[in-house]
Amino acid sequence: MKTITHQNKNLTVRDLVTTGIFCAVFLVLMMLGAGLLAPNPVLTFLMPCAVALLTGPAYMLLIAKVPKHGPVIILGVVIGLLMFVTGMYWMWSIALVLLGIAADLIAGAGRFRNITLNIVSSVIFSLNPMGSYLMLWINRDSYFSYMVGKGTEQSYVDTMGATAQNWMLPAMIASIIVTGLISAIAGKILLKKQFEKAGMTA
Amino acid sequence: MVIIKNISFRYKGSSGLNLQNVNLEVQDGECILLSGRSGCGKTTLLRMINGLIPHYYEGEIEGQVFVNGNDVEKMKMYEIAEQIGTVYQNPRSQFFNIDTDSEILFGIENMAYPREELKVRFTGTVKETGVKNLLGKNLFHLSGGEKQKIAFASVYAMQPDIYLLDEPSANLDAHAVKRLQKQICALKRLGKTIIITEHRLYYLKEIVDRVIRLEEGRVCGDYPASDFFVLPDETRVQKGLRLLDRNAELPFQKSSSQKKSGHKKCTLDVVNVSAGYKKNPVIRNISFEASEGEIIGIAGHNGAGKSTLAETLCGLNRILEGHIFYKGNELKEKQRCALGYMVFQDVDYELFADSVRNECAYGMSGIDAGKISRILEKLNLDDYEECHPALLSGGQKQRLAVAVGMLCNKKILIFDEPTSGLDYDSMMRVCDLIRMLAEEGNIIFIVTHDYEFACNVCNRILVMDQGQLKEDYEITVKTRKKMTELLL
Amino acid sequence: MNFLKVKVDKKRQGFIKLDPRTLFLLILFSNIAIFISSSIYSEFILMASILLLCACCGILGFSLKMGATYFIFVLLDILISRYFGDSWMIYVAVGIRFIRKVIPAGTLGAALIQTVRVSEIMVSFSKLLVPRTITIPLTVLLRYFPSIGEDRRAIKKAMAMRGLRGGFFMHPVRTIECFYVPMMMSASRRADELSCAAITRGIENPKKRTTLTEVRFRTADYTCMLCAAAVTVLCIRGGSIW
Repeated sequence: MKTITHQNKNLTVRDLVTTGIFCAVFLVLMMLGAGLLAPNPVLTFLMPCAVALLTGPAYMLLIAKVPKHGPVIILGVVIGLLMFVTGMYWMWSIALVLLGIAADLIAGAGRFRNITLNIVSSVIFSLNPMGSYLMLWINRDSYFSYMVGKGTEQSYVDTMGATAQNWMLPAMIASIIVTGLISAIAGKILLKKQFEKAGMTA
Repeated sequence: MVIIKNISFRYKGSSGLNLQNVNLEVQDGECILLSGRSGCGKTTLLRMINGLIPHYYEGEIEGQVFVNGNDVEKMKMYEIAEQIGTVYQNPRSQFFNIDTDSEILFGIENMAYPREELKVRFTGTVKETGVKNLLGKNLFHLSGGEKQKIAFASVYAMQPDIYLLDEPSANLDAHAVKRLQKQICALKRLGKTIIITEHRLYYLKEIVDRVIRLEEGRVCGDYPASDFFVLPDETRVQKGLRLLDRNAELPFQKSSSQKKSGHKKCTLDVVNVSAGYKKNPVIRNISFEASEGEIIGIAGHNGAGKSTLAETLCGLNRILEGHIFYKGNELKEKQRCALGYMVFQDVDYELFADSVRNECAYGMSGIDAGKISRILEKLNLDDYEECHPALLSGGQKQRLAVAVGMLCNKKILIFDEPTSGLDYDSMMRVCDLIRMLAEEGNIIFIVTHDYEFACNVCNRILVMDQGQLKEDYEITVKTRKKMTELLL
Repeated sequence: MNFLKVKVDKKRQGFIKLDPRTLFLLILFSNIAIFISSSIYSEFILMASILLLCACCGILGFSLKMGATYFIFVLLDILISRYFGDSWMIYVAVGIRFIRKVIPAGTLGAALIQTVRVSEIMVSFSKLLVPRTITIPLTVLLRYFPSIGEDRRAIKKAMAMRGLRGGFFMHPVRTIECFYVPMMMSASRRADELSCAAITRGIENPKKRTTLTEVRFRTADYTCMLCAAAVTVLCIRGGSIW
């Protein structure tokens, strides 16, 4: 008898389809988190945390199903494209692509089998919504200074700009890292408890 | 022409051979039926022919398959795709696009035909497969039968010489099966070679030329259709085959009232119930009574309100009007939820835990371990206690869902299409299970299209039509004919 | 956020019909304009022209709705920063401004989804030389999206029947397990079935895929691009004009 194995380093159609399906799952979870908080002016800054909290397991399972270079980049590019086409901040799309590449390289360093590196890569990727909030800092002038006419109160700009710069950025990043970590670890537990036992991983 | 030469195959991770030394020749224009029990290797054989083995599935292989003179193993998948078209069992998971037009075009666009050719083929296909009314629609808004029509059209547009149909009727109602029958006939008239695997056999009687029977991966019978469809009933039952002839006389269950000499106590009383969407109720003015131990079939076309009725009975829908009483007490939504339990067609959605035993205890505090063991033993699941539910077979998953229902002390059990795609033996096992549940004093409802199954297990049939209860009768010699017309 | 409920049945038809690529470009332009613009008046002009375009594409009602939303956000922004400018309400104001700035491009995005068929979007991607490693997952994503909704409904029913109600806040871990496990199991299985169905219909063909759907630039497209460029320039120079 002849043994047939498909050890293919490149992405096969099956890998692409699997990636597509998990992109859909990822996006749904992302929208669940974002949809709850993003349109709310008070809570909008918590949105990245909610997204990070929900998406970890989907990310971990994607890596476990397709342990190759590529799927995470595709995840970033595809979601970035959709974000762009639907008119979200374009910096978010760019962040998705760049962090996708970074996350791919990190997980790839452990050949996608090293759980710790996979968790780190998941956390890194979950920083992506920061892309849209970075506007607040990079583009500070346009953001804080223009009000109706020339009646901008300088004090307003100063307090807002200063405080925001001082603590909001690090606070947001730190909170995303914490929630992302919780989520990725939860993903790892689910993976061990359920999906590996059920023979669902590659 | 398809030639299969000395094929043996074992999937990666499988303990035994899935196909053993299979030899088969299919002539051009022939229509062949592959029959046999679940797991006999029918589907594996189809995969050998359309190249998924060895190009997609891994395993060990011996022998060769030739399609129109070419060795399948040496061809690329997209070359095979031009000659062989495959329609799969589950219409829900075989489409690649979200709209019908793109789906029909999918195959021919992959083949990279120039735009004029695409146009010609598209219009031709739409005309010849009769899908004009489905164009420009969202595939998710179509019924199972309509989805299958689109799947067919997509393959048809590629104009292959050989069609492989993998249990095409598994998810269809009687109406859609008749349409499928016509479609296969039309292909045959075009001189196409057709290979079908199927459990539901009667509708193929006048279509197929030859029947191959497989058992445990071997070919163990090659009959001309004229011999096969007249096999005596005992022989076909012994070989695990489903109904061969729609005119055959089937034994049926004595209804409970006949059994208990007219003594019948009404336990469940449904009065004038309407449910569905507020402005637009899906079911209207449903009234009937049911007593303990009854097994009641719910039949009707797609969209007639069968599943809405079933869901309403177990508290998944709000009642807009009317009342449901159980042992004289009116049931509120939550109580219906506590009493009713539905075993889905897709049982996977009902299983959450990481082992069979944990599944039984899931979400229930203080459940008696001994009780779990007893019920698992009763349902033949005691050997799998530590197994992950996803690794069980379809029948075992179904029994596990039933075990959960029994542990929750449910009194109204509802089965949604429990026998779609089952062979005779598995169907009989489901019948035994359901009878056992009925004897324990539960009321059983079964949403089904399966005539043979209904004859075997139901005492009574509720016929739904356009959201209303059209008929309600016990199955007797007199009502048989009505039932045959309904389900065949 | 139901922006991915792509419609395939009936597309609104206005008196202009744009190539999806034009709309991509317009979205890009409006993003740049918003990014750079430093005058609220130029932002108004941008939003007004987007709303006008939407109305021309046949989604007048939607355009009015978005206009009203935008107006409310601007009003809130002004009110809060005028009268509560030095309290914690500043953060609310920034939040509002932040959302307000998504609205123009978001309106265009929604207009794209509502007026262009999925197949046209896919064709434009392949015309823009997006490789298959992206278009295949993207198609699958759009197609699988509604399936997740179906999964969710079925899981909810199953949970209700087993008395696993109580919601997310009472039992977060259990709720997550109940949703994630069956959803991802079904995702894994569907991936397999879907790949088979695609492979046996020749998706691996290395030849460049052809399409029946045609997209091409028309006069309306060029006009729109010119207008968009003009508005963008206006936004960039906005500060100096006013």
